[in-house]
Amino acid sequence: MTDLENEMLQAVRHGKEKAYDYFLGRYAQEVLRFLLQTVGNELDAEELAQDTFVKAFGHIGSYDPGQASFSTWLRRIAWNTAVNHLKRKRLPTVSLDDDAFLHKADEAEPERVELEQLDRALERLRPLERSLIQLYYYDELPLKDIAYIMDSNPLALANRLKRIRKKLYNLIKEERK
Amino acid sequence: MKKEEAFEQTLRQAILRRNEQSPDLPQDFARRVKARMDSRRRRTSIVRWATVGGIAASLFIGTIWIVGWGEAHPTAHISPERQRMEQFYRQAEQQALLNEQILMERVRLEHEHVMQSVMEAQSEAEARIYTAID
Repeated sequence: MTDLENEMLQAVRHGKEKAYDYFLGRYAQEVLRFLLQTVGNELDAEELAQDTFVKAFGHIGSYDPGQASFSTWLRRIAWNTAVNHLKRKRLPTVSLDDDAFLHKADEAEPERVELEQLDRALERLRPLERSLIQLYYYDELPLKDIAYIMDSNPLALANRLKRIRKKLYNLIKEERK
Repeated sequence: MKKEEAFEQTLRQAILRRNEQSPDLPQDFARRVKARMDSRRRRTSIVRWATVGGIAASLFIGTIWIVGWGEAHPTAHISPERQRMEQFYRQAEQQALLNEQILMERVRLEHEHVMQSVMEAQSEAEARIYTAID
């Protein structure tokens, strides 16, 4: 964490509004992007991004720089906010047991795929599977950080990523048929 | 390049493209967050003062009630052992008072009896004197 960020954190703790601008300017876009990939709806994502920042600023005292970077901590709040939102809306979240494509996963073979096909397959993933893909492939976060965000463990997440990839193959295969 | 690697690369490209297509942050995003922070702060402040007020009112009412009840039941704050002891001393005191009253009554009656005897003896003596004179 930089000295400036540390200083701004102290300022937020003392309720100084200018410090909010600093964090909003630096992290709001990436939080919005993450939430948009998770919930897939622009309006909801924006609302949830606001919730995330309100919660983060409200509980800034509980942030421990030794545990995770501010950005990772913020994503953890965004993740929890998104999960609660999806549960409230009764939308499917990630589940290892009820995956319709699980039994086919071992049969899947990696094939040459087109960008458009993959994009459509991504659209058919469960919202929270998409957010795992986002954190790993777009934000390029280490599994340790993703585990902190999703309150899971790196090994379980590595397995889940493998299964999501196989699910994507199967979705593409199914589309080709 | 292996098929798996090729797939991963395409996946990265697809994710990148999806993110590039995502909209920019609304202009008033920061203002809206700050407005919600203000509203949250106000709400927290109202809740805090309402809680403080509630506690103060409860303490006030509680104090009045305890004082009032204490006056109506002066022994309420005394332990049962102490209450038993006090009752014992009170009863002993009452008994002693009663004994004293009985004793006083006896003394009074005896005094009355003696006085009456003296009066009677005096009357008898006077009667004898008058009889002798006559």
